[in-house]
Formats: sequence, C-alpha cells, structure tokens
Amino acid sequence: MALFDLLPPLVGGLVVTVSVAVPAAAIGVLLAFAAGLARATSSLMLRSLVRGYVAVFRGTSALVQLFWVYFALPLVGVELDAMTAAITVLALNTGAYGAEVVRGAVEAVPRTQGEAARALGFSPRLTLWRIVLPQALPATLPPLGNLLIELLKNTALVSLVTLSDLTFQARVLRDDTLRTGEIFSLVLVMYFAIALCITAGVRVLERRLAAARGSHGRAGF
Amino acid sequence: MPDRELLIRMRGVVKRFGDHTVLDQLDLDVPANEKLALIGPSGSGKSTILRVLMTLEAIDAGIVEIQGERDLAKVRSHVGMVFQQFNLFPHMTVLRNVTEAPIHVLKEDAAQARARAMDLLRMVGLEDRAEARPAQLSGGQQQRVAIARALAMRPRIMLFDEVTSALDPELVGEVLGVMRRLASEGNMTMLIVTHQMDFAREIADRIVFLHEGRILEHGPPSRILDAPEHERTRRFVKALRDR
Ligand SMILES: Nc1ncnc2c1ncn2[C@@H]1O[C@H](COP(=O)(O)OP(=O)(O)O)[C@@H](O)[C@H]1O
Ligand SMILES: [Mg+2]
Repeated sequence: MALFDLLPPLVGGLVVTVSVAVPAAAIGVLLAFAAGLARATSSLMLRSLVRGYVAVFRGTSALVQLFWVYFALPLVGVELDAMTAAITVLALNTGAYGAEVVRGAVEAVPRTQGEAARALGFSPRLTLWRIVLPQALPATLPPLGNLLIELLKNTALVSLVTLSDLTFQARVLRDDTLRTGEIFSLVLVMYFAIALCITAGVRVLERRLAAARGSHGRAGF
Repeated sequence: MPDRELLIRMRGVVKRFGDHTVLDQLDLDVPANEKLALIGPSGSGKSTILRVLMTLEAIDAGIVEIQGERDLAKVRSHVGMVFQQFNLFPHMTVLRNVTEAPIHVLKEDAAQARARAMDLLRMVGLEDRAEARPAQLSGGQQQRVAIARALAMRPRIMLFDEVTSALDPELVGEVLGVMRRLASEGNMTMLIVTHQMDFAREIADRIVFLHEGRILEHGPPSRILDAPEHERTRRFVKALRDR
C-alpha cells in the first residue's frame, strides 16, 4: 500500500483548509468576546445590534451564509475573493455562537464581585478587565474549543465556492485514482489530527490559567 | 456633638423596589468619627442604607450628602464597605486583593502599595497569608482581608454590613477584634449593621433602631438597649438577647 504518492495533493488541500481555519478561528474568537461583552454593556443600541447578529448567524446555515456572501453580495457591489469570503463567513459564524458562550460565562460571575469592585472605586471598564473577565475566562475555554472543532468541520463547505480544500482534493483524487479507502482514511486521520491539536491547545490554555490562579501562581491575570 | 463636621446627611430618603417602599422618608445625620450601630429586624432597610451610601443603589427621592457632596460618585473613594459574604476577588492572592484598588484606581506606586498592604495585613494579623488565595482562608480570615482591602483606599467612612453573620461562632471574635481596634484609633467614621448587641453596646456612640424603612428611635447604647421608648425596640432587643 503506497500512500506516499497520495500525500502531495492531499497536503495541498490540507494547507488550504488550515489557511481558512486558522484566521477564521482567530477572528471568530475575537468576535465572540467583542460581541459577548457588548451584550453585557449598558448601551441598548450595541446590545440590540449584537442580538441581531447572533440571531441571524445562528438561525441560518453556514452554507447559505457562504453562498450569500460569495454569490449574492457581488450583486450589490461587494466582491470578495473565495478565500476572504470563506474566512469571513466562518469567523462570523463562530463569533455568533461564541458570543453566547462568553455572555453566559460573564453572567455566571456573581454580581457581588462587581459590587465589591465598585465599592473600591473601580470604573466599569476596570471591573470588566480585572475582575469579571479573568473569572469568566476559564468557563469559556471548553465550549470555545468545541466551536473551533465545529469550524474545522465547516471548512469542508469552502469547496463549494471554488477553494481546493482537503475534502475537495480528496474527491478529485478519488475520481482520478479510485483508491477510495486509502484516500478517505488519510483524510479522516488529517482532520482528526487537527481536531486533536485544537483540543490539546485548549487543554494547555486551561492548565496555564489554572496554574496562574493556583496558590503559588504569582501574577494571576 | 454640636461642633463636629457632619459627614453624612440623609433627608427624606425614599427607596423603592417595585411598589415595596424600603426606605420611607428616612432622615439620618452622622457626624465625623461617630461609631454608629444600625439595628433592626430583617428587611427593615439596614443594608439598603449602606448600599445607598456606597452608590450601589440609587434613591427615588430625598437628599444624600457625604462631606456636603450630593454626587456620591465623587466622594466614593472616601467610603469603604465590608460585606457579609466578604466578596474577595477569588482569582487574586490576598496581597493583590489589597493592592489592586490602590494601584489601579488611586494609581499608587506598586511597591509602595504593596508595602502599605503588608502593614494592613499585619494589622489584621494576616501578613503570613499574603500569597494565599481567598479560598484557602477561613471565613474569619477572609473577612479580615476584606477589611484590609477596604482600608487600603484610606476611607474616612467605613460601612460594615453584618460582617460576622456568615461566620462560624468561633471566628466572630477575631473580626470584631479588628473592628474594635479600628474604632479605638479614633479618626474613622463607622456605620455598623450588626445583630451583636454586646458589641454594639461596647463600640457604638449611638444606636439607631430601624423599622420598616424608618428610624423608630436612636440614642446612646444604654438607652436603646436597656430603656427603649418603643415596644418594638424592646421586643427586638429582647429577642436577640434570648437567642
Ligand atoms: N435588589 C432588590 N430587589 C428587590 N427587593 C429588594 C432588593 N434589595 C432589597 N430588597 C428588599 O428591601 C427590603 C430591605 O432590604 P435590606 O435593606 O437588605 O434589609 P436589612 O438589611 O435590614 O435586612 C427587604 O424587604 C428586601 O427584600
Ligand atoms: Mg441586610
């Protein structure tokens, strides 16, 4: 069984998949925090805006969103190349689900923590950054990790807007070589390896946070 | 005490939660350095008074002045509060709990803030626990840290809201000891909500008895505790004594 000749095209696809997933993940997590925290602010306009964003992206499929951005937006004069469209949609999607994760974690921090901070003269901003967020952060990690794995799975959609990602390359290669079993086993292993990396990354972050707040951790947050 | 500066002035203060009137046209004056004990049945509005002074609750009518200032946010740094449930920051060491506000709110120099925090921790008998986390301390120790944390802001007024109610009986004494010491140092105005009548008698210049959001009577401890005018006060004091 010579798998070696199958690797170059598949690795090419893997690179595309990763180039979509990594920026989408980074932007998505940032969006999740921005939107999740915006829902905890006092600005009604900001809160409504975020609520609309979350509702739209949770209420529609990533595939429809991708088609809409790639095929419909150009009709109103906004043309994005396939890569940008893919990253944008996956990031917005992750951000919408992540916003709910962040909001939940922030709301789980007892109100009395905010009162103690206020009694010490903390501004709302200082309270958010130094008291609330550090306490909310650990609870966001496992669910955000799950969202990133979800994002990875969703990258398979990008072939529908002309990108040659891992799944796309696998199908092309299968049609060319008919070595279905080997190809899809390899693809399975590759996706699984990335998912393992994400899980491991989240674990490391969790452990770092736990250590920072352990009895001998110095700076904490 | 006619010549003393009036630190806190409350006039006709009304606070409602929904249609429940919690403070009902309340008047209260507190001169500088007074040690005032607030007593009264549960729900009579004791915590609400402290929370209004700390700007944790907005009032619906009336006037509240601290040092003659009606915008309480401006004088907030002169007021410190200690809560029943301690409310320490669990993600920080004991030392950071005490230095956090001086460094980030008062913009004090970090080394100086730490040195002063260690002095305060020494005062409350916890200098050897500076690097511990709140969760590693007993309730009494946590409450002493909370007092040190509030004092680090150099307040003129300290508000204590049933600070020993959440503690096991054997831990009450160490917290009262710190408050006693603070009171004896003189230039601190203290408002103390408590059910510890012996402590109120010992430490307070004046006791205020609250009932349904109003001050039913007030006066020196001996009079309020031993010869109250009102039947309600008498019953309340007796019930606590018989507990
Ligand atoms: N956030 C709130 N929402 C609604 N009712 C409240 C709130 N805070 C306090 N109350 C009510 O106000 C009344 C007075 O409360 P409080 O000042 O805590 O009394 P005390 O400290 O004397 O026991 C109580 O009946 C309480 O239920
Ligand atoms: Mg109370």
